[in-house]
Amino acid sequence: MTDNQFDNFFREKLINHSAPVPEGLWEKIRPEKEKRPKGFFLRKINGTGLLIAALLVGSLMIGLLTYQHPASVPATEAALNTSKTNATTIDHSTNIITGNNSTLTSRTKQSSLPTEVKSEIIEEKTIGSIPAKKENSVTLLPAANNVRSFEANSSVTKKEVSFKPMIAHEQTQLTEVPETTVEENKYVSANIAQASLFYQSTSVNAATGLVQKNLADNGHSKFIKSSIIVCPTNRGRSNFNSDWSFELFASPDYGFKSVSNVSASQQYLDKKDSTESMQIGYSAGFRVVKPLNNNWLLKTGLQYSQINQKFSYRNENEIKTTTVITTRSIIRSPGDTVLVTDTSTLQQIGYSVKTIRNHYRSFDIPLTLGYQFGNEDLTIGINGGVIFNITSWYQGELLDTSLTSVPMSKISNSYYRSNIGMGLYTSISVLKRISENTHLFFEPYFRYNLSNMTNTASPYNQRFQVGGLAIGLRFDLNR
Amino acid sequence: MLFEQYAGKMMSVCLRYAIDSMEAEDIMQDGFIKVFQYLHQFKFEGSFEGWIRRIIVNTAIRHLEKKKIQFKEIDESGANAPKLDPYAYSHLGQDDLMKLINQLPEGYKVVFNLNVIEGYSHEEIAEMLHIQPGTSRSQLVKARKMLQHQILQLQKIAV
Repeated sequence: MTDNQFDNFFREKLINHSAPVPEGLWEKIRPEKEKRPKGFFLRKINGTGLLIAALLVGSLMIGLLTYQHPASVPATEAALNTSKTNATTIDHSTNIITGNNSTLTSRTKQSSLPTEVKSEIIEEKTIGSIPAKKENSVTLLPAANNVRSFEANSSVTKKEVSFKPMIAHEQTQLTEVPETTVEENKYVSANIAQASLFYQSTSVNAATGLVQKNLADNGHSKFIKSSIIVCPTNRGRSNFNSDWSFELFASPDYGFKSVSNVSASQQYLDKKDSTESMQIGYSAGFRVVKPLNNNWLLKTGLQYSQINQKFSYRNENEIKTTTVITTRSIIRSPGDTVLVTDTSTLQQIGYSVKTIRNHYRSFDIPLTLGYQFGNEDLTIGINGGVIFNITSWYQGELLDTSLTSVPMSKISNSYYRSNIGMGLYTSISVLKRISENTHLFFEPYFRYNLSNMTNTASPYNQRFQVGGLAIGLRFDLNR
Repeated sequence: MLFEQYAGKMMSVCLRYAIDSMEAEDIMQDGFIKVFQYLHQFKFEGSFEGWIRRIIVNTAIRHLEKKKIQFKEIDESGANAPKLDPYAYSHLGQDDLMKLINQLPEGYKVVFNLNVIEGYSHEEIAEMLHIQPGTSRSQLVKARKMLQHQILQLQKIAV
């Protein structure tokens, strides 16, 4: 018989041996199973789930952003449309004006006056000269300009006679299609095009304002409604915010550790888990805030974070040796005294508990996009973005695979990476104005690191997810 | 149900490591709580039963650690390894073998179970029990010798 045969016999007999299970054992396990702490909810969510969540949040934010645009984009489109429509309106008025050559010359002379004043003067004059037809005073300045250019063209002037009646007809029936010959129509079209080109080349702001005002005076509200011209210098920039802000903050943090096994024994992981417990850490830093408009803002800066961990290691089989010296005197029968000294050793076997505070430190650059709403006094914001690690290091003691406590520092670091890459960052901020340019803010946040902090040499994978409450001040600059 | 499916086999494991049924029940309870606690960490990389068994064995060792296992070197210099034919023990049933194992000194029993039944190497056992691999080897040799002695004794009684 060999030892192998003997061993195999035992193994084969006992490996699948089943013993009766005491009754009620499940009843003892079940409550423990049910009351077992579920852990932090994100421990259950894997990286893919978080990526999907981040995409959803991103989509939501983009949705909110694009929700803003319909208000501004159609406004721009409307402005563009109205400018086109307005050109037509001006043409109408131009045609109207060309009919009255006698008043045009004097009006042209007045064109050097400031526009607003000029319009009033012209209007008064026109009303005075042609009281029955207000239409004639509608577009005095463009008409004058138009006629000036019109007169410069000698060939066109020749045809002016045949054109005038048609214009007069148009004066009274602005909405009616004039019954003119094909040649006249062509001429009118050419004239319209010329007039509008010329008109656009002159001071647009002043002229359009004048046109609108005069059209309104003449009951052309339909035209006005569709011909509001937005000043080009202001167009599309009405919401642009040129402010800057600066934030200083500090935060108590709490790290949530997640560990998964790579090549370590379960016993090692259990032991590691039982020796480490998370404690309150902190973060501090600054951020530069750039508002994109009244609601959206971009933030970036630099922050320092420290996650604290308590490491309690129980060192078994600690031997404490005490030497005991006992001295006694013996009086013997002859009457002499003998001094006796006994030396004994007392050995106590027990355990010692080593408690050390481990630190995990890092420098990071956050880059977030935020949406804020509220009033001047109280603002609430939702922020989301990424956080880039610049450098990180671990300091303290931890268990190695032989279950021995070993020191770990920035230099002697065999398990932890010096850069953990990118993480996701989300927060909700509440800002309260405390002075004209200063806000106090509270910002609960959560940081989810996408990568493990351990390297490939480590027998396990470990990550810290951090939650905290940033408290700080925001200073408005460039206001 | 997970518990019903594996409870019998795991109870047998617990009984092999524990001193008595009460302790086995404690190990079983702690072990299955851990199984449910770490169930989400099972990566489907090996057999599920093997994974549960490792948890139960580790739990048993932690229980024994609390009591400080004594890896005694029992003086058996006078006794050589007995010659034992396979027929001498082939008739032994599972319960007999369980009794024989449970009669071993604690250190012998743990090492024998880990090496022979669970299949851990001496290096792994050394790491698990914080002992030298040599200690594990010598404990196994002695455990085997003691078991063979016990089987011989049983044979003599039967005769």
